[in-house]
Amino acid sequence: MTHSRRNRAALGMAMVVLLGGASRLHAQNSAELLARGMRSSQNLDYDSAASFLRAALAKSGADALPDTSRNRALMFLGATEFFRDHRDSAAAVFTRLLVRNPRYRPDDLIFPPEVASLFQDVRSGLRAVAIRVAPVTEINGPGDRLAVELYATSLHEINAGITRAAGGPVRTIYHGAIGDSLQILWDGRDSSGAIADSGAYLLRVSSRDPSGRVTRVVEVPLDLRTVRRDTLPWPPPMSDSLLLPEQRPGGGGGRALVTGLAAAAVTALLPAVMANGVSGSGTRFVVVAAAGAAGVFGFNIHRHTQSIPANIAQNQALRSNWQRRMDTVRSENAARRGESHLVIRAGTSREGRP
Amino acid sequence: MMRRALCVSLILCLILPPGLSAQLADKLTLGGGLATTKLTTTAGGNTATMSGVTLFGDGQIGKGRFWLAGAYRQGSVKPDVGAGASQDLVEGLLLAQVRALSWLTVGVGPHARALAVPGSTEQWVFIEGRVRGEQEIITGRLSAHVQIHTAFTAHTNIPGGGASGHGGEAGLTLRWARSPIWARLVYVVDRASSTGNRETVEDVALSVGFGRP
Repeated sequence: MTHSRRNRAALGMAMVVLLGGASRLHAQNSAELLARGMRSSQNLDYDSAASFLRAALAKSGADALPDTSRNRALMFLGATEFFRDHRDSAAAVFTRLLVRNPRYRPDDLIFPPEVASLFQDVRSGLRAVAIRVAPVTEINGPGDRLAVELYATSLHEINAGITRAAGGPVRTIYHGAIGDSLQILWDGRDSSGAIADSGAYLLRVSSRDPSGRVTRVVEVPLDLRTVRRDTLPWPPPMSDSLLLPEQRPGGGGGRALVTGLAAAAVTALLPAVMANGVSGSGTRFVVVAAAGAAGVFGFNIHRHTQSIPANIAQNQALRSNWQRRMDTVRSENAARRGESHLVIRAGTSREGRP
Repeated sequence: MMRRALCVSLILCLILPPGLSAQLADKLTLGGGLATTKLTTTAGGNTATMSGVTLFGDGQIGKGRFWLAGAYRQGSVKPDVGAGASQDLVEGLLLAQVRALSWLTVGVGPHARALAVPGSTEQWVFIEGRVRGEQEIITGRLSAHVQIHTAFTAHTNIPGGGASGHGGEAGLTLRWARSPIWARLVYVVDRASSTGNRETVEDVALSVGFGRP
């Protein structure tokens, strides 16, 4: 076997080993890779540990590590790089971890003080904020707000505000310092106090260094939907069939005349009929005259159209009642038109451009 | 006494809460007025007439088609001729009535009359039946009525017995628009007879009242 043939054989073996190892790494799922990486790190096999942990963190899609495991993987990877004397790599990994979760702290029982000290140094120098907001918030009334929880790596100045996704500020919510955490609230209104229109918005939080330079921006997409309350239907028009006739056509005068005259005649004749032999009081002719005049008066009245006061009053009550219902619906609808119901859906937090 | 009763009745009618009075009755009226009264007496072929003014009060209470009606009057009459003693006239009436038709009412009840002169009192007691027809001349405002009555039984303390009685009434009732106030003008003739005696009382009465008719 010549020297060149030996070299080719060795290269071939190395390729087989490398490809075989790579394919084995690729075949394992992220949880297994994380477990093997942590085990290798604890066994002081830092090179293998770094490979396994990076492979675990590189998984995406359905096999991607869940948040808690990802944080753990990053912590172990940072410690591993520290022990491999890759201090800058370790700091970069810790930065990546803290940007994801500013509240993360290393476990003192697992990681030695040197690692914790580096982690603390990175945290102190890092100005980053994480945003936590409920996936769906409904603003139904004046007291309702979108609550945004901010968590900072260290004390620094921030700007928090709402902007349109297409660009353009809507409202500044907070400008000032943040220590460990901060809750900010947004009432769904723009800087003029009007309810924000439906559309795509961004909640943007900018971290600044002491010179005022924006060092990092984190943003959450917000989808706003303004839902106006349905108005009440108008009451149906008042049917004419409900109304009573308010006037009586002329007529019936003859009956009124006959009634009056009959009453007059009876009054005149009563003594003769009921008290035979008595001439009768002359005063009764006052009643005779009154009854006769009433008959004539009634005859005259009934020749013309007459109003019916009882029916007019009842119709007026019906109309008033219908008008009250209309007024109630009108005022309720006016109130409803002024009310807006806002639904805010928050997306996933991401890093934005300063 | 009659004035006092009338005043009490009117005050009660005014101060009773409308809701309470409506629960008790859907028909409640109270009224009062004065009448020019003429009393014609025929006894033993002699006829004498007396005249005067009497005061009266009446009221009705009931529910639906049924109600009770009462009336009381008091006054005195003096002889039209000569200087005879005046007589006190007191009369009371209680009727149970029912509206048989929209325009027709029938009733029955006791009717008592007393004529008092110094030393004696002439008394009449009847159980009467009454029929009354009423027709409107102007709807809701003015109506006319005619009423006749006859005694089913009659008693008197005048010697001779054979008491009987009958009579009639006609008049007008005016109601104020959208008001419970009414006014009434009537002519009444009422004859009481016994053996050898006839007494006829005629009234032209004007009254005002309050309440749902």
